[in-house]
Amino acid sequence: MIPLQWISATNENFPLLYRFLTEQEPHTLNILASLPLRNGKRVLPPPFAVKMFLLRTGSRIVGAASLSANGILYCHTLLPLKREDLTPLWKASSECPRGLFQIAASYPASEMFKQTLPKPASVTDFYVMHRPLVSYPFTQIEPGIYRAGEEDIGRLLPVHYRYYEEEVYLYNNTPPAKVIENNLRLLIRNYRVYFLSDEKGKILSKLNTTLTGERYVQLGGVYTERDARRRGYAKRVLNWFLINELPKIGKSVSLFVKKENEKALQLYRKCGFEEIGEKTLIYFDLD
Amino acid sequence: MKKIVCLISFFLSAFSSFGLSFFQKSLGDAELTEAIASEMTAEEKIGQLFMLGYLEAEPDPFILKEIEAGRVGNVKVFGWNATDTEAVAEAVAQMQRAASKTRFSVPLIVATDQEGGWVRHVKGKTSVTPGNNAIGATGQLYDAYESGRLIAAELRLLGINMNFAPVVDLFDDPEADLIGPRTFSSDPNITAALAIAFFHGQEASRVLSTAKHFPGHGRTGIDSHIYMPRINLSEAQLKNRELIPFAALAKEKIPAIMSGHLNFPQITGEGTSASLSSHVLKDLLRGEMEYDGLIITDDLLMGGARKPGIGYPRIIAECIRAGNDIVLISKDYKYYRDAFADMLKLYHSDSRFREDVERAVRHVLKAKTEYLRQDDRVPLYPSAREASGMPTEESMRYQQSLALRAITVTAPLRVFDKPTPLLLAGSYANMGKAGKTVFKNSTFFFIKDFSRGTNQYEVADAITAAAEKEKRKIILLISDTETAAVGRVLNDRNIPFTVFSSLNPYLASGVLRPGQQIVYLYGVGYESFRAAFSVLAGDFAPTGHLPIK
Repeated sequence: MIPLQWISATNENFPLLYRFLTEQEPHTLNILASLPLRNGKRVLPPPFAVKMFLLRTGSRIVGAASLSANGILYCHTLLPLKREDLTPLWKASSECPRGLFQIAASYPASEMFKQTLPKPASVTDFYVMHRPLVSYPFTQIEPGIYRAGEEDIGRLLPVHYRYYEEEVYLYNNTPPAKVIENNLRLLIRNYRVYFLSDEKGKILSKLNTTLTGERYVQLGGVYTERDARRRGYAKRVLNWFLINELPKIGKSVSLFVKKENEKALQLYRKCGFEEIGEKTLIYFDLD
Repeated sequence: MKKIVCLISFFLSAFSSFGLSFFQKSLGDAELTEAIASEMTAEEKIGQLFMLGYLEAEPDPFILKEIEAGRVGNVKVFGWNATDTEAVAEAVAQMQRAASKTRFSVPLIVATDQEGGWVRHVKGKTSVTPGNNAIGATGQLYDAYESGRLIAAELRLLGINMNFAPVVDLFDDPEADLIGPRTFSSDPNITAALAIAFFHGQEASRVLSTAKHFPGHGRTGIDSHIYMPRINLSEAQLKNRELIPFAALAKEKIPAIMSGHLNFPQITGEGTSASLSSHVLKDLLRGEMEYDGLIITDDLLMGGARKPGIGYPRIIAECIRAGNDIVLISKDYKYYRDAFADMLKLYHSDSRFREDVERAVRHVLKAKTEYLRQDDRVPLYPSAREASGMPTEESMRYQQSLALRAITVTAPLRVFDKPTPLLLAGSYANMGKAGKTVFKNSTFFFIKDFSRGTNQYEVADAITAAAEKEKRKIILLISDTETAAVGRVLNDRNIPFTVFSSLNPYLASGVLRPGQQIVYLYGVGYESFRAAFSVLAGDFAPTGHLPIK
């Protein structure tokens, strides 16, 4: 067995790293997103902003990890990792200004992380799904679905807040309102937010794109207001996005969904999504 | 009312007195279009409706003179102009310079056919791409977008601002060797989605996209340039299939659609091509489908466009009357001169034709103001030096990756060890070149050289003899009806061989026998063969799906 070896990303090995990341999309979208864009191209980030690692075995790249300044470690490997394989990452994490508090690892690394780390505050398992291009009738415009602009922030914010509360903050914590408002503003400016509203303008269901890689765009923020559920609204917005908007973006679509969320899984499968992997999110309580 | 007329004429005279120019920044696109259109002479207007080919790599004095006089508003770069990429850039710059000397300096639309795959009019250093069947095989929107983006980025370097792509015909006729390999899929909805992505990829380089061939060329194996195919479909049938991608692109505001020389007797009446049917273009495309972009005819030279009782050269004017905005004539200046004179005469004598010209010239100017005026437009005066930088490393890497991901194998793949001696038989030299890089002990049998004056039995004999002599496994490339016939002979004689399929996939599936393996590579470029051999060696697991039913 050839020993695994983490090496830091440099300008020299950056093309290798980039190739690995793009070949492994959509599992690597979070790592790709840690690479800053310059003139439309991804470049190596400055060392203080994000630490990047490549996992080699002999001359083959079998994994990559990024560690952001605010303490999120994203890892994707093609091989199961042992306890000692992870040591360099923990060492690096201690240099992070805010310390490690969240890990997102895609299978099969996830199992290893669960076993080797100190007791986490929360562990959530997800399926990673993508949607192959399937024949879907090009339906005409559905009434009431819009792409959000800055002017919609006011009425979208409460819905986005509730989405954060229920779906993103996965353990006991209250999302800070300002953070969520900034996040929504960023999504509207840099990505795409779509919503379905009733005649009075009340938002019923929403979704947005979150990360853009080379081949994939990630879908997130799929949320329907509690009193509007079980009426097919999410499906309407999702289909609208897949049929009318996705071809314009010109990328494939992926998402990740909690394994236990049967309803959501059912919806995604109905809309043509397939499972292509797993992913685990682990939060740590620093105190 | 009188006051308004006075006011308008005051404004118009004010423009002309200040020297109205296409590049005038003080006017919006719509205002500028209207201002120029109403100032133009009949000759200048009709000139905007012509798109001409030129005869050599360099533009000849005749076309330069016609452009400078404002009598030709658009040009098309054909294969015969474009073996030397740098020369194309110089030619385009020279013709645009001539256009800049016209009264309003309206630039030319410079078009070409760079569909991807084997329809690649600009050769030289441009990328060889696996083509639309390969995009359909990966089924990834990303591949359609990237192919469009990278093809258009190369055209942009050459100053070519319009591409007659994407092809949105459906692969419906197994014998459609001419159209089939140029389509994305046999499925209208998938075709629509991929075409929209391709269009947006080309938009990223500000190259005008053209969807073709309206209303659908997929159900015929006949070349519509030479003979007019007769497609017996009702309007309802068309709306259910062929028109789906066009409708999606019309909604998406694609800037141009090409009308095909195809007869739909139930819709256009016997003998009339869709390109000459005002019902198809005005009622259906402009009316029901609410399309407001350019309509361009397919090439009018070879006589595919027909309408009973209409002869030469009136047929050209009839194209405008039917609803086309630009008429394309590839290679015959006499044809153009006669048609021009005829249209000018009609313009002065026939008020309804005059209305059609007014409409068409506004469509042309609208497209030009939207695409050729802004800072991000395709350069009007491209530099030969920049053009020499093709193909970019980015494009080469991408084409190789697309070729690999497109490879489709229908039966479980039997891989060969790399030292296996193979006999690679096919009509494309790239097969031999790429095969030898993966399977070092292989030899290439060039069918194209051999088959002149011979039949399939003789070719099959020679292949078998060559293989037996050195105990080689046969890999046969089926890329046309001749090689398919050779495959059939080998099958009849129970000689084992592996099939590679390029271009029309139906040809290879037609010779299939139970358990026989076909490696579909779709393209004929080096990258496609390299990908197929990598799969055959087991270096890469094939992931493509056949884009046909």
